[in-house]
Amino acid sequence: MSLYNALFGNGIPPALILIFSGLIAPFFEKNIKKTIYFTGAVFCLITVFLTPNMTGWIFENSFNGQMIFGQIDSLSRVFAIIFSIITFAGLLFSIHSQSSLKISSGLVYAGGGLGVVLAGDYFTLYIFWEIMALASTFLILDGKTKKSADSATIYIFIHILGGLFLLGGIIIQVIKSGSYQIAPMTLSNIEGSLMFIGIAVNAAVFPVHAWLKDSYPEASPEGAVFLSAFTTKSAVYLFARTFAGTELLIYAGLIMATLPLVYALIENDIRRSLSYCLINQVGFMLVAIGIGTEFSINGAAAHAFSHILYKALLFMTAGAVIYNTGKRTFSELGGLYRYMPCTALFAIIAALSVSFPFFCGYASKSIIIKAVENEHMKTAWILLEFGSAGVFIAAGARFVYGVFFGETKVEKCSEAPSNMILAMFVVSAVSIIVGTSPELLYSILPYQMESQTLFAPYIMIPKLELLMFALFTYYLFVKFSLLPKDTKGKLLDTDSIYVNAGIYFYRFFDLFLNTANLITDKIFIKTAVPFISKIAQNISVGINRFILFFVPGNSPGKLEALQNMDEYEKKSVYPLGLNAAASIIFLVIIFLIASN
Amino acid sequence: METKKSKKVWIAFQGKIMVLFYLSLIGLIVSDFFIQRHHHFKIGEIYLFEAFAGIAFIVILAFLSIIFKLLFFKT
Repeated sequence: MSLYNALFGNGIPPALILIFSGLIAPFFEKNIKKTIYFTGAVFCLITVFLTPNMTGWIFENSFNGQMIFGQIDSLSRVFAIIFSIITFAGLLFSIHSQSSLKISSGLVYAGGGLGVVLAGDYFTLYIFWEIMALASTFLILDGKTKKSADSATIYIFIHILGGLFLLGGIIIQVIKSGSYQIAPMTLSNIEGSLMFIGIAVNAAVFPVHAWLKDSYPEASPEGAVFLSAFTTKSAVYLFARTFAGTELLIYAGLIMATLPLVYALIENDIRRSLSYCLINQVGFMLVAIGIGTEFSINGAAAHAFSHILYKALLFMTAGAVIYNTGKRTFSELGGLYRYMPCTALFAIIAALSVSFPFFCGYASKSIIIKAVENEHMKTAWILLEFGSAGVFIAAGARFVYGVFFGETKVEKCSEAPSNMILAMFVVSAVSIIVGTSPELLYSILPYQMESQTLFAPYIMIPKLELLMFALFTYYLFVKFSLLPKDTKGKLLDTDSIYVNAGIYFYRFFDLFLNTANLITDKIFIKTAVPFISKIAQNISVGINRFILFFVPGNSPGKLEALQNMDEYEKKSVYPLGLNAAASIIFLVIIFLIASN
Repeated sequence: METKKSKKVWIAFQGKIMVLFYLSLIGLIVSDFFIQRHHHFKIGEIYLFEAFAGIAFIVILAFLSIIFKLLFFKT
């Protein structure tokens, strides 16, 4: 199939629609530019919804045989749908911006994410994986501060490293199996292990999670909305596709579901706190994938869907606050409900969407917790309940109370721009629709779902109790000032270990190699080389003098030759013939020595 | 900036909302307890567990956050 037929035979692949519109639009005038952005996002949304399950957009080539741009099945469809919805909402949220870099990078990044979940072969997957890494780096750079530049450098370094692990795994897998087809993997072989590490970096699995909390808060308010959706969730998709049932994911997920909460509760930067909560929720998904049953995979996919919605909404509200006030820490913010009532309302909806009945998070998290119950994993169940209550406090209560209520610390500010409000409304509406009618979400999950009893009092009340008593305890802690105060500073995480290790590694090699360099310089460059040079300079003259010594008499020719030798020696310049003669004699001597 | 009066009004409003919410929650628990009384022991057990879990989890989280702040926070 030709490239044209591959790309346009079934319509244009959704990933390429976004990438093309992102790349083309900056070359046009303001209004045309916006039209191109929106046309791309809407066209992509329609294509994803209308295209049936199939393997399409195949480009036959001489390198890997086939590049499959669109393998739409029940698993990739869930991710593609939510990616398209959030791309549209993210675009709506950012459209007031004059920066083409911001919106274009966002669309290319979204296209990369969509390309990963729809890729039908490893080669295509890897290309979109790297497009995603590159485009998201520009979103972080768009923060336009020194910190964002530093974060972007670390971000791209870590993702290129992760990408290399993935590539290494893919190459070995392709050589061994002879196929580019994306297939289930195990950790028992090198290719599986390499791919696992590569995907784990993007999923922010402990202990390689620190890039996330450093980079997302440094992006622009609009950029962070895009960032919250694609990198980790495309990695979750790939884990579900290739490593379903891998026990290690359960342990990794449990650590992620619990430990980051502690950081989220004491972190002063609002978006960094939300980033830790994001890691916590990805932990839930990894536990579900690690269990590996059809029901739990449904839970992971459903929770990825819900989580993208409410995390984007949380980042939107946080972004609107930062956009309007210029402040980004809990210690600087408070009481904003007076000036930003709509944003406050959407923040409350986002907080409730984390775990509360009739909101999207409840509909999906319940499946994961039930999947854990079904496997009789008591410790995992308690830890996930802890994670569920904790994230409601950290991402919900603390964020909403700390920013919109509590003590008023901001003089005055205006409500968020209308496009931001509209974007938050769209995401809130989808969250409530999914929360009140979860069967809509369940109908697009990878495996058949029996109808779930979610809203019966005996199911809901215990969940409500957990959340409300957690909230009550948190309220008491805040009222009696038992929690650490929000202060500016740096919270040490696992990155401190490898950043410090890197610094010592650098210092060691700096000392070791530079000392070796100095010694070499002293012995060879400053002593041996001038010595050899001197010998080399004199050797041809010496040979000639030696030959002239045997010439009898004191003929004028001999005297002139001797005089010339003195002259050459003084100027350190020798005729080519003399050097050639000396070289031949030297080579003859070497040859004689070697032949013996 | 907020005045003392508006702060008082706001705190009173917050308090009323909280009390209403917890009263309705207790009402729900009691009514459900009677509706499900044919196997009330199990239901009661779950209610007790979830209520104590909610409290215990946040106490643990708060305790850990204090420890972590002492150990890993650098100003």
